[in-house]
This record gives sequence, C-alpha cells and structure tokens, in this order.
Amino acid sequence: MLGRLRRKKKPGENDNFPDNGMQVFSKNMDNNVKYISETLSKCCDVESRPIKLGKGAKVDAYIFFVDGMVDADFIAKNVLKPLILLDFDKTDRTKVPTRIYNQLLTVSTVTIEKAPDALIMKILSGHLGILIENERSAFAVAAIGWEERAVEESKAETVAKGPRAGFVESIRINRSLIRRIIKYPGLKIEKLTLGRICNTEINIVYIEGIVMEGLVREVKERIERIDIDGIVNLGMLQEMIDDSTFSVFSQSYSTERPDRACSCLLEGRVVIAMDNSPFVIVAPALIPQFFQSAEDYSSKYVIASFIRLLRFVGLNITVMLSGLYVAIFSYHHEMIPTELLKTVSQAREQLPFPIFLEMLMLEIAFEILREAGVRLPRPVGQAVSFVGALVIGQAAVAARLVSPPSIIVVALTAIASFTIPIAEGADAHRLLRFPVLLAAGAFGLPGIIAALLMLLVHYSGLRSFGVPYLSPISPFSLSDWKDFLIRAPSNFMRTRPVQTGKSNIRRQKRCKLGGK
Amino acid sequence: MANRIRILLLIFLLLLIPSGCWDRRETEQLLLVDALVFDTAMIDNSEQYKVTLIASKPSPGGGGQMGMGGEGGAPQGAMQWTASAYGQTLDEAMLKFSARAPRYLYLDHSRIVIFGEALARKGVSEAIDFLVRSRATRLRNFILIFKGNEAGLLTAKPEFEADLARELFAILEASVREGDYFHPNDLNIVAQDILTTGQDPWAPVIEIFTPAHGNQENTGQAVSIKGTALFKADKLAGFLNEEETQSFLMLKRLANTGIYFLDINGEKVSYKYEQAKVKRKLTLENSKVNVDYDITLQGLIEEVHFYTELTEDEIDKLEKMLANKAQNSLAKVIDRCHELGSDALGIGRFIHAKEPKIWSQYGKDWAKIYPEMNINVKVNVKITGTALGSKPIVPE
Repeated sequence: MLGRLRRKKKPGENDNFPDNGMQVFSKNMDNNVKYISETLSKCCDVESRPIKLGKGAKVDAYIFFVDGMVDADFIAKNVLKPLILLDFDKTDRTKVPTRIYNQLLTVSTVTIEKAPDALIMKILSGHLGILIENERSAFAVAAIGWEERAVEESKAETVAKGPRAGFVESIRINRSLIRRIIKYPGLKIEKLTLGRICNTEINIVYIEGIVMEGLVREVKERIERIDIDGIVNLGMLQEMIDDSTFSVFSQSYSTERPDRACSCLLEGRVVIAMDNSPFVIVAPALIPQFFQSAEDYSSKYVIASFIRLLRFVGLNITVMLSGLYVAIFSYHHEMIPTELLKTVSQAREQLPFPIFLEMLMLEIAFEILREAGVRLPRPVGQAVSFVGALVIGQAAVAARLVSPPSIIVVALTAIASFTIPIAEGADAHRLLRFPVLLAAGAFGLPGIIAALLMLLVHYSGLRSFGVPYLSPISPFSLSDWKDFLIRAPSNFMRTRPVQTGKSNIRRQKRCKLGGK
Repeated sequence: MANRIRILLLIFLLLLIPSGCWDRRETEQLLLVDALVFDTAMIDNSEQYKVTLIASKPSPGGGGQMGMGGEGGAPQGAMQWTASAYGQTLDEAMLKFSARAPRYLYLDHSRIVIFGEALARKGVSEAIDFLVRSRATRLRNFILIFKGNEAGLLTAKPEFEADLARELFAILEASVREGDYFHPNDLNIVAQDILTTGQDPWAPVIEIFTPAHGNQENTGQAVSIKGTALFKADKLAGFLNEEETQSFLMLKRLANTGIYFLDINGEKVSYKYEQAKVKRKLTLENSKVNVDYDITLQGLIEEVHFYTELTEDEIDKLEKMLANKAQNSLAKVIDRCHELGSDALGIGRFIHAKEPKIWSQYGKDWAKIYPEMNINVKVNVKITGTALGSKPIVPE
C-alpha cells in the first residue's frame, strides 16, 4: 500500500521543468524572453533587461543573470561594453552571433545553449544569459563572482607541521587545490550532477593508470543511482554510497586536507568532491586509514610509528577499558593485583551504586558534556567543559556518589578516543564502548570476549567498494603493514597498497638514497 | 538488515537485565583475607581446629577525597581485622566467620598461611589438603610456622606496613632477592614435599619479640622471622636457628650469600661469601651410598678487628680456617637433620634421581635408612679481596 503510494508520480516531480516546457528556442526572441521570465518569476534575485547591440542599436537582445552570483564589473567591462559600443554595420546580419562569439566577448568561458531550460540552469549557477533576436540559440557567459571563503587552515584535521590549506565550499577551488598538487594529465576530474532540485555538482577525481580497476565505474554508478531532490550535506552522500549503510562504521572517509586527498589518489583511491562542501570523500576507506594522520608523514618515522602504536592503544582503551574495569572489578577480583584491589575497594566503600551502573552513568554524562561542548560557541563551550569536568566530577566524588577510580577510567576512555585522527573512526569506536560495557556488566570477561568476537565478525564482513575492510589484516598482506601500525621510512614505501593499487603497484624505484 | 538491527537493539536492552545475575560481587562486599592462621585448641575437652583470619578492613569513611577534611594518610591500626573461630573441621571453623562479618570471605588474595606450633607438631597435611582443595586459595601462599603461643601473634603490631600480613609478605618477598638467614617457602612446594618420599617439607619460623627501642608509639610486640622449621613427613620435627638456617639454605642452594666470622685470639674477622657453588655427588661404598657435598665459596673480607695489612700467606691461612669453620657448621646442620629424622635437604629425592635402582630398595624404609646415611661436606674457601683499596685505617 505504502509502496504503491510512493510509486505514484506527481506531475513534474522528476523533472526540473514542467512537461509542457519549451524544448528549443523559438525564432521569436520575445517568446523566449517570456518563457524564461515566467519560469523565473517571483525570483527577486534574478535580474533581466533588454539591450541593443551595436552603435546603431540595430540588434535587439536580452540579458538574464542572478544578482550576487555574477561579477557586475566583469560583465560591464567584458560583455556589455563590447556588445553595445561596437560596430556591426559592415557585418552581415546572419553573422552577428558568430562575430559576437569570436571577437566581441572577451571572456574565456562562453557556451552556446540551444535549449531554454539548459540556459536557465546556467543562469541559476552564475552565468550571464544573452538572448539575441532571430536566433535559435543563446549565449551563457561564465561570470561567476560571488563571495567565497578564502582557503584557510583546516579546522578538523590540524597539524603542527605540514601544509595548512584546507578545502573550502567552492568545488572549483577544491579541484584546483588538488590539481595544484598533482600536475599530471592523467588526473581526471569527471563531473556529475546530483539532486533533482539542488543540481549539486559532484566531481569524481582519480588518476588514470593508478586508480583501482573498476572503481571509477562503480562510484559513478552508485552516485547515478541516487534519485533525490537534493543533497546538502556530504555525510548524506557518503552514507548513500557506502556498501553497508547499517554498519556503525563508515566505509569511506572524509578529509578536509588537499594533501591527504592527493596521497589517497596516489594510492589508487577515488576522491569525490561535492559543491558546497569543504570536505571530500575518499573511497575505499580501510581500517589503516583511521590510524593515519597527515602529521605522520611530516615527522620522523620512529616518532610517527610510536604515535601510530599509541593510537592503536588508544583505540583499545576506548573500546574496552570501561568494560574491562567493570568486568574485572565486579566478577574477576582474583585477576587484580592485591594492592590495587585494596586501593579500589577502599575507594568504593559505602558507595550507593554498583560499579556497572556507576560507569554507565559516568559514560553517558561524559557524552552529554562532549555534545554540549561541541555545539556551543567556543567560549561557552569551554565554560561547560569546566563545569562538567571540575564541578560535576569533583563534587560527585566529594559527595561520595562515584568513586575516583571510575572517574579516572571514564576520563582515560574519553581522552583515548580522541587519539584516533579520523572523526568517522573515532566516533564509531567511542560508541562501541557502550555495548562492550553492557556485555561486561552482564557477563564479565566472557561477555567482553563475545562482544569483541561479534565486532570482529562484523569487521570481517564489511567491504568498502568491494575491498575487504580489514585489509591488510585479513586478507593478510605484509607489504601493507608498512603503513599501518607503524610507518616505515619513506624510502621503504615502494609499493602502493595491494588492494587499491593493484593496477600499478610500483611507486618508487630502489635506488641509493641520502649520503650513502 | 533492518531486522538484524532490531534484534541487536533487543539484545542491548536485555543485556541491562541480567547484569548481576551471575556471580557478580562488588568489591565492597568482599572480605579480603590477607593471611590465614591455623592452629589447634582445646575446646570443651576436645581438640578443635582454630582458624584465625587477618583481613583488610576498610577504614571508616576511607577513600573519597584524599587530603580533604584531614583524611589523608593511612589510619593507624584501622586497616586490619583479626578474628578467630573454632571447629571440628576447618570448613566448619571457616563457616563461622560469616556470622560475624557482613561480607563474603574472599581467600583469593590471601598471601600467607601460618601454622601454629601445636598444629604443626600434630601434622599439617589435613590443613594443606584443605587449602589445595579450595579453588580460592593460591598455591603461591607463603607458609610460615609460628613458634610459641599464637595469641601473641594477633596482638603484634606491624612496624612498617599498614597491617601484619602485608608486613610479613613484604619481608618474605624482599628475601627472595637477598635471602641468607631465611628463605620463603610456598604452599605449592610444601604440598609437593609432603607427597614426596625422600623430601620433607620445611618453612621459615616467625616469632614475637619486643622491640628494644623506646619508641612510645610502638609499645606493642613485633614479629620477625627467626630460623627454619623442619618437618618429618607432615609433622614438625624441630627448629633450626638463624646460623643453622644459613648453612641449611646453602646446602639447598637457595642462598648464595652469607657471612662467616673467625675468632683469632679474641679478635674477629668477618668473611662474606657472594658466591656459593654447591655440588652434590653420590658415591657407592660396600653397597652403601654416601652423599658428598663439594662446596666452593668466593667472597670478601668485610670486617677485620686487628690492624694489619693482610699478606698473601695470612690470606691463605684465613681461607683454611674459614673452610674449617664452614665445614663444621654445615656438618652440624646435617647432624641436626639426622637427629630430627627430617630429610628436608632432599637426600632421598637426590638418590632417586641419580640411582633409581638403589632407591627402589631404599625407598620403602627411607625413614629408617636416612638417619644412618653418610653425608660428607668438603668446603673450599676463596678470598677474592679484602674489600679495601688502600691501607687499613689504623689510629696513630
């Protein structure tokens, strides 16, 4: 029943324009102007005016543009001035459009549109539309000139060392940021449009000859399959192209850094950029990526490897520590060193809640504080953190509601989760500590082991664009471990990742390096 | 997939319910027993087991904010709870504690088992069996024998740590590294020794003493380790004093260091060996087996009470005298073991290992053969230095 209702198509729902729209320009300019004006009626930002071309004002024309999206000075200087002031006298009437195109428009990007609907789309995306009398086509002049955020330091993935530039909202600038790093004709940027109403531009970026075989086709197919009115947020797109939507893990990841996007391109991955999004999607994304930070490649390999291992420890603490604490201190006291047990049991003397409930409450309280701190403006957010951490934590201990060791465990768990550099990975794993905690509270260590086994099964079943998510752990490939738990020195990184770089595995030639 | 998600959510909800149905125990419900003391006592004209617990007791209002409201520091004496119970069996005695303590008796973290002298003389095998049988007690529990009346033990105060059990444990654990006058022995080894013919158990002995200093805070009695108890099968046979213990441990190869001193015309020389190579050998003589100990000591002269530089001749002389002295004290210990009938040195076990054929004859009445065994000791002493880089300090 619901399905049938859903399938019933409302008129015009699937098209941008009414069915009875104009397919081609008519010879009569007035008809064309009327059609466009009607389509764009009640749009106060659309401006239009008739103009006369040439000194003798011989040819009628009409221009359309959206205020605020075009650069008015630019239009005046490069379009209107040459058209109005120049001399058509000696030109044959039929050759006027050719002359305009070839000689008069001192603009680099001009397209000739045959259909009024296509012209309207151009106008709405910041072009100047020029209609000329007795012509069955129109010019769309790229005169985009809206206010844009400047390229500035990436906020989500900050590094102490390394390039600072982050992507911005404009897809034009974003792809140029990539092109600036990879100056190679094989860097392909394919354009797709997504959303019936929003008509958002999507770019699929890859390097020909390096990209994983069949990946580009698959990505394109998945994006083309989406039939939606509009996608405003990159996260929605990410979810829609993921292999397993229901999984807590994201099978692609987003980055704000051009250098990171480019290094992924060099590994045979695909970057998907969306207009109006300062993040790009990288696919496929596998487990190792969630441990890698752009900083790793700026610092010495020993330090980078140490930090990688630290992140791995951090991940384990995030997922398991609170569970282990509950399991061991409420079921397996024999596992604790005697002195530690005495210290903790002394601290827990006469507390009102069982350890499991205490941890659950504290973990939830932490999530509340974190969420409140993130959403609030920065100065207020800091105040909230202070109130949360100091007042509530301190007061709860002083009032003997919770024990200090539990606070330490919760704090450690929370802080450890922030060592995972990719937000998708950090959030998913932070959430996982709740099921582990529940399992620990119900069944102790066997419960934790069961929960971890379930997690392992789930991990193993996941795929990102057909690539096993757990690679290089399973399927095992030793050569990929050079950039997983440790980072090998750069001159040992001779091959691309086996799964994504199969088609062109060699990256670096063995040669004498340095002062040897 | 959506179904699976629903099932997963259901599991999470259900997980909240069984929490605690299994053997969950909050730490504050546990009575952490640190040491167990077993002894016998006469109750109503019948001999009964007496079990004493030394357990950790939470200090009132402990934990929480340390340093706030003047709560910091370990409260004196409040950390220890000592209680005794009697029973025809050990199990019965243990059960009686539950009527007194509002907590679950938790033996997993017990680290010391003490046997009173009276029980030890009667035999410890029932108690050892009880401990080994229990899932909770660890085989790593140190075994101690208490010499004298056990009532004194319960009033004794620790000198360093917060409670007595912790103090004893710390002393024993430190000796694992240092060990010369005593060496710890644990439940596992004692249980094995009881089961093995040709190897009798032994354990360090603790005694109560009154500290000599006039510290007003510490007016009570304290505990220290003094010597070793030797068993014959599972029954306490007798004690070795500290000096004998040193020799005993050397023969057992448990202690590598120790001191011997010589008395030369009233002036004393002290020698500390830092390496003891102990070799055991079996020799057959007229179908009789002899055991020969060949011992080489290496060490330094650490203390000299007469003011001379030791020449090489004098050092040779000292070496011989020291060897003689060491040989005598080792022989004395072996004699003492013979006298007590305790094969704590494991001579039988050694014969069993080296000469299984002979052991098959000996094994049956080892208890009779052992006191007749010939055990010889030969000691070789080396003085590697005088521990002095310059001339001795002599008053002008």
